[in-house]
Amino acid sequence: MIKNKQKSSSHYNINQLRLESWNELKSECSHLETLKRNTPDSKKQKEFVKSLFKKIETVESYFALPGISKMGMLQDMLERNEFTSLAHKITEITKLLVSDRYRSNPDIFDDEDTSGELVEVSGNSDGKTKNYFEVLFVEDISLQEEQKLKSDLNEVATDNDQFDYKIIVQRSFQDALIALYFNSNIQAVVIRYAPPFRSKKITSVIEPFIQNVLSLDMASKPESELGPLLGRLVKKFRPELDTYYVTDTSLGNLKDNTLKTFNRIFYRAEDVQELHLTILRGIYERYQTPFFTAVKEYSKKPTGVFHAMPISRGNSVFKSRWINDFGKFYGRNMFLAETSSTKGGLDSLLQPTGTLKKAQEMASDAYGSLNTFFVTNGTSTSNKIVVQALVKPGDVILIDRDCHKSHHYGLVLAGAYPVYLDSYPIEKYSMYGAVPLEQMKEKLLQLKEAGRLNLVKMLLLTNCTFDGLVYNVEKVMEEILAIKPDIIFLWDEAWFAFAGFTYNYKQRSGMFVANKLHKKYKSSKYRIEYEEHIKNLKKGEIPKLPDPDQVRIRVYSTQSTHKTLSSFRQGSMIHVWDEDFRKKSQNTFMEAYMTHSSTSPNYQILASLDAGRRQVQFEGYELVEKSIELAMVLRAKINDHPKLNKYFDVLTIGDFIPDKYRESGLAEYYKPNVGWNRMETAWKEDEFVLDPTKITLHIGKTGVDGDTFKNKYLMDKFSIQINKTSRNTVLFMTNIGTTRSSITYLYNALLKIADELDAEQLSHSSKEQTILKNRVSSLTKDFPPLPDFSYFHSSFQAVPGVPGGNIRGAFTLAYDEENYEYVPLEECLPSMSEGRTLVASSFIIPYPPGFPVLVPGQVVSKEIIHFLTALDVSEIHGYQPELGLRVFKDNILNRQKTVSSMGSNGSVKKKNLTK
Amino acid sequence: MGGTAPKHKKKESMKDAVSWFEIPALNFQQSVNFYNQIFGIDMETKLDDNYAMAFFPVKNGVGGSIVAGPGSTPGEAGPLVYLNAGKDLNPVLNQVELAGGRIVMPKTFISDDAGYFAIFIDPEGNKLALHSSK
Ligand SMILES: Cc1ncc(COP(=O)(O)O)c(C=O)c1O
Repeated sequence: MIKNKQKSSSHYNINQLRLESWNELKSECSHLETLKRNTPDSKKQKEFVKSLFKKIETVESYFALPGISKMGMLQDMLERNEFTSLAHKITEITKLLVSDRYRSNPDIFDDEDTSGELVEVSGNSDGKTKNYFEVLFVEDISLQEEQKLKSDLNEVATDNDQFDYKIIVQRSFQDALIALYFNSNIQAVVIRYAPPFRSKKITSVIEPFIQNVLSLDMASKPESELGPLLGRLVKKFRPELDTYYVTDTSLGNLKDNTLKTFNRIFYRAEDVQELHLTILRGIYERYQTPFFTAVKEYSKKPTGVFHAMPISRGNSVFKSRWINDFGKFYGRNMFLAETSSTKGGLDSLLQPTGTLKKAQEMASDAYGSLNTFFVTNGTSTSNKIVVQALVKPGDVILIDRDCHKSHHYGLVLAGAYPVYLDSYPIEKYSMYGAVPLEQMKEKLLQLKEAGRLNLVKMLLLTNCTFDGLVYNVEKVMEEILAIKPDIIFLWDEAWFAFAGFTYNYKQRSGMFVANKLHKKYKSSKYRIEYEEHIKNLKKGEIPKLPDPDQVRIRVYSTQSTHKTLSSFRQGSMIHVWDEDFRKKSQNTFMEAYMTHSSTSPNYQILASLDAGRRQVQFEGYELVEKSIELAMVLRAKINDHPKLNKYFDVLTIGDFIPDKYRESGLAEYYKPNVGWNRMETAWKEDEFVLDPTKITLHIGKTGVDGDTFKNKYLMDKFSIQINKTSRNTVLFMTNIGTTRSSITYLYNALLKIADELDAEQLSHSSKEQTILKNRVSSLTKDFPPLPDFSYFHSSFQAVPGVPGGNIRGAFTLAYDEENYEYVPLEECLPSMSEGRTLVASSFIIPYPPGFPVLVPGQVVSKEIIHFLTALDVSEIHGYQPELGLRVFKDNILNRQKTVSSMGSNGSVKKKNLTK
Repeated sequence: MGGTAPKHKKKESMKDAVSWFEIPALNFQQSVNFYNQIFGIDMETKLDDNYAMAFFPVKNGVGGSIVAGPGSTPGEAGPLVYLNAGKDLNPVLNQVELAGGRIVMPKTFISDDAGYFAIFIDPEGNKLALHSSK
């Protein structure tokens, strides 16, 4: 059922369109300047420039700078035929917009005589640059009233204010939302009275970019409700923003949830000063970094250390004759900030009461959780904490087999019985996709059938995967809760911490969906929907909606903050949205947290988590959107260049996700000649989507395998570092640190590699040509099989025929070297065909793909042997090629069998025994 | 209870070595269902504040029960109880896996005198044997 109507646009986002429009305006104005005045050519060109202004005007109305009055001035210049100064001005403005430099000097647009070189001044009295942001005012006012508001606010601003801002006025509900989509530097929203719903300025230019806005139809709501409603939407899409409401409804007559929606409500307050101070205060509070600030303060204090840590304050370093360079390299602050103290403004991570408590609460707000915990040993540790906190020996966990190894070790520690779920294979590129919902349900129903549903505790999935496959989190949770209403979800979001900061992504993240479903299932509307659904079920049909009386929302997400956001390495967070946390898991969670956390957590990591939180709250939306945009740019560039697409293909949605999981029909983000397909519908509905920032490049046509390409080409020749490869692919990622120039660098590197490959091929002898041809053919046509999870050996199965096995039992049996032996890989198949059952006694984890093809207690299948034989990677954890596979001895597999002593004692009569 | 208290007569043999056996359970009903199913019986149950018990129906031989409650912990180590599976243990054994147990040793010949046995693990994790003459 594929809906083929795709929406597309020739720019990926409004930012691209905006900058390109300015550039176009710039060159057309320059052209106008060169034409002889008052000629037909010049007149025609003038009209054209006018039309460009029209086009750009709507877009500009959503930004405070350069601002509509500036736009008016420019158009006046055009009218007055002042083409030279117009061209000059527009060149200036374009330069400022492209470089983003106006943000450190927002008043620069007002300077009448901005000359070519701009000095970055703007600052407060102590000379520091002020942070600049924009405030959205929503009210249907006239231009004069807008001017008055601006000058009133200007009057109350002082040099001593910590921050600097300008306002943008939008006159309707829709325009307010559009402004929030387009303008990532809006940090506060003031909604005054009742804005009308419809925008009067939507044009076909901006339409493709505002699908999410156009899909909301609130026109039927009474206008008096639109203000509070807008507030709620802001909180949903950009919860980090401060929202204020100015109303003439008296406080007593406001609904409760209106009161809760806004940071503050003003009653007809025309007190501009109060508003100004409130806005600044809101920003100030978000700007706080309690722990980072405490570390900074601590490092300034003189202290004598009579405790542990000689490195603290650099004492053992700077005075050293031999490691002085170590100190110089890192600089003094690094050592001044190192301490073992938990007092003096610092705090204890294991029992926080001060700055760490506050910092974690602020992170919880930012990430939309009920509780957030900082972890300083990576998500590897976060995962083990969550699993140990929630499952006990013998509990059953549904888990994707190709998840990170920390989970498998977590299962061993917890003694849980894993039920492995297989991701669908993508054989052509030697990688796995993700687990289809059908399979999860099937396994769950099997367990139900066997009377083991009560033992199922958790569903554990990786979202998104390393390769960028993203689940439909809402659909998975809903349909799984329909079968098992109290199941706990652990979403491994190691690669997805950034997802919470832009809407398309956010709706597929654990915390957002937990919150959404919790609200949904509590509503009376849902109760009716549920009853309707149950009534209409056919006989034997499984409900798809959870019972509102039984369902519990218990969701955990673990995120490697360091992988996708600003944090030192190992900085990780556990986000909890568990309505039973207090009652059911807080104690065990804290025990597990203590089990795995160091008593000397690294303060620099913690401070970086705190500072990183401030960053995402101010510029998360902007940076994440930009990293997606850059990924799209790279995808398009490689696609469009004939030299590159001769050797490389950017794999896209259709290559990763079979049609049946893509209801929207969206198969690629970018298509030459068509442009950008809008991704909104797919991200809302499809079972799986592909995160565009994970860019997998198929390199089969080069005849070079992934590992060699990574090391010999990218690293050795261009110092480009990547992590993941498969047999015929390499993976590039963009993140919030990616810059336009790094994209260009990569692009040029690929061009040079393509040149080199061309040159190499020209010099090939015919024999070499044949070899190359064979290699290309092997990389593009032969696909080694990807093995599924086979099954646990019967002696490790919880119940025969029902999924779930005792992985800890198997793991610990291998502590005794008497229990296992090695079988060389080449002897495995013959031995199996003679009837021997080979059962792994250890994890076997090849890198890549980085997950176990065998776990302790798992029966070795032919497919697994084929896979291991065909594998051409050098790193396989748990496997020593010179020894072979480590398998259990037969007597261990038979350990539960025994002889009977019955009848061995001759004196016992037959009839006694067998009567 | 079956059997009589042993008298202190040295070197004399006892009538039965076993007086009574108990199979521990955590999940009482699951365990009762299992034994009901494999033996095709309907065990009588008795519940009090702390304990739940279910009795194997025997006329005058050695009996036993399932017990759930404090101190009743299933496990696969420890003594091995042989349950009487009638003439041929196959019908009982065939039910084991269907009922959620696990066969760890199929029907195995012991001797002409002693007959056959098989070993299974019940859904609670107890290891038990079945015994029959044929
Ligand atoms: C899916 C997944 N989970 C967890 C981890 C572990 O994260 P960390 O490196 O922060 O310990 C990784 C690391 O690669 C991962 O890919």
